Amino acid sequence: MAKILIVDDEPAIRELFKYVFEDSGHEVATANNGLEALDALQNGAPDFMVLDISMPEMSGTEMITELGRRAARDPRLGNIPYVVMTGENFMESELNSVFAAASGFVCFFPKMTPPERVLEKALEVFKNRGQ
Amino acid sequence: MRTTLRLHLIILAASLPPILVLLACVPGFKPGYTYAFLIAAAAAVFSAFFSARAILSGMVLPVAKVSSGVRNFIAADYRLEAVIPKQGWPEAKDLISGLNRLMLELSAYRAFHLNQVVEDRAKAQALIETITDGVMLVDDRGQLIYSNQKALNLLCIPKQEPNIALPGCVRQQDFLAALTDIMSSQENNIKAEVEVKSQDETYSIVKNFQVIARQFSLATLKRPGRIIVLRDVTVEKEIESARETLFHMITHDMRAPLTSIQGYAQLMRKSVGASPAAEKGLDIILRSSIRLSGMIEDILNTIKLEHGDMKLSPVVINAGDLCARVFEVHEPLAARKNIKFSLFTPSEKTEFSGDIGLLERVITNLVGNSLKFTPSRGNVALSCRRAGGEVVFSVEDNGPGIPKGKHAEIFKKYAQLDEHKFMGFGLGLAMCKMAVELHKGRIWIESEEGKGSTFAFAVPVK
Repeated sequence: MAKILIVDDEPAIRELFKYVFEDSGHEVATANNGLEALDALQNGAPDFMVLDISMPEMSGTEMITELGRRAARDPRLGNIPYVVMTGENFMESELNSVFAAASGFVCFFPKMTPPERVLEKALEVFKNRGQ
Repeated sequence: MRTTLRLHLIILAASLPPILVLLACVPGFKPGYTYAFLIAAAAAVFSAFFSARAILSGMVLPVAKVSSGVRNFIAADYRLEAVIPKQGWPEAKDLISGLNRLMLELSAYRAFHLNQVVEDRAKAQALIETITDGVMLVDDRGQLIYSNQKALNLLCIPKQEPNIALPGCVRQQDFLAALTDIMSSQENNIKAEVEVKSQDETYSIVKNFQVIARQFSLATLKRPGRIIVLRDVTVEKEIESARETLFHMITHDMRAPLTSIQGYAQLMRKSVGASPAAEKGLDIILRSSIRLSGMIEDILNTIKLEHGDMKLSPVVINAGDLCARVFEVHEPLAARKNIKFSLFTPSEKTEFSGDIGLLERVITNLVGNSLKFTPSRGNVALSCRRAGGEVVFSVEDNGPGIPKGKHAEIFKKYAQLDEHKFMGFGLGLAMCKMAVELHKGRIWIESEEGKGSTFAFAVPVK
């Protein structure tokens, strides 16, 4: 069983991922935006994160930048594996410069990828990290 | 609960037959059997009750939850308020889990697509409201489907007006006339110029607009609608007219000194007992000044033809003589370029009525072009003939030819093939077309790239 944090401003997408992950026996926390996600991280780092990019208050890009800053003080935050769900409105170069450069980044998924496939990726990461 | 009662009765009915069979098999009825029978019947009722309870909570109630859950999901417009709690036997739990997954996916998809539609619409709206042209979409009956604020302002249509239809709702009179024509036309692509007069307190302002209408199809429209663009071309028009005025002024003022050059060169050739070298120089001065005055003539003609100011001075023209004159002027040039230049005129007298000065410029331009682009040792032939009610003039060469796609374009003003950039004004052929059309004639080109070109025009005899 792993702890997974889902960060997305669309409740329907959050619920879908939560349901599928919980159904497979994982513990799921959700956050509506980057700010809420950072708050949630204060209660302990999850094993995996699923991030949306465009969200109100704090976007996925801003959140990862801030997370990098906080990791300097709290090393536990430094290496949380995460995947990014991308829409069509983003420049690949911009995404790469923020996400791919940060530690913990696993891969991009196009938005509306079935949660099962994202979960498969998470399990692969756990296996590689020896969990 | 009807389902519960039904289940009880079914299980009871299923457990009673063995008891009855047992009774029927017992020979003679003894009093002790009554108790046995009652106990068996009670056991049957008891087991019916508990099996029904088990089936009910294991399968029937979960199925009932599933169906009410799906009904609520549909009633809430495919938004899942809460997942169906998993309960009952493992098969029922699997069913509920799968269904929850499907409903969650459906509501997520719905949210995703709605967001996308809203975003796409916002993008399109931002673009359309930002551009300075008025833009409208109308259906085949003229009903407005979409427009930007600019278009409504230009046509003086209040935004709150429901069911806006074109041209009926247009309050701006100048646009009303143009749009009435456009909406009644069946053509695919229409361009119209509209002069819009408006009056404020002190000035009356005239603005020029170009109205462009093009057919387009939407999946929801049975027949094609139209996209209509209203473009303010006032500044372009002003620039164009300023350029033309400047052109006109320059060329007009160039004529006088040119006439002096020509006159004095002719005078010198006659009066000065010149040496062969001076003679040659004077010839070049004369030829060049004749060419220059031809060019000036072309510019002035183009401007006059375009503005509709050109008045024809028709006389009876002998087609052969006209060709011979142009031929004679160009012969030395052809000889210098080592081009075989030939003339074919009909043996019988071919006469028609036209403006001799203008038509001479047309033939001069066509011959001049051919001689300019045909390489050394090539052939150029000028001919004229009578064909039906027309006189046809043609200039044929075996030069580089003109690509098929450019045949219509080269008759437009300032049009030049890329490879001929900066080799003249690009006015000649435009002037030829307008001059021939003013004679109620037609002009065309037959050409194949690499094989040569034939420029021809026909004017009616009468």
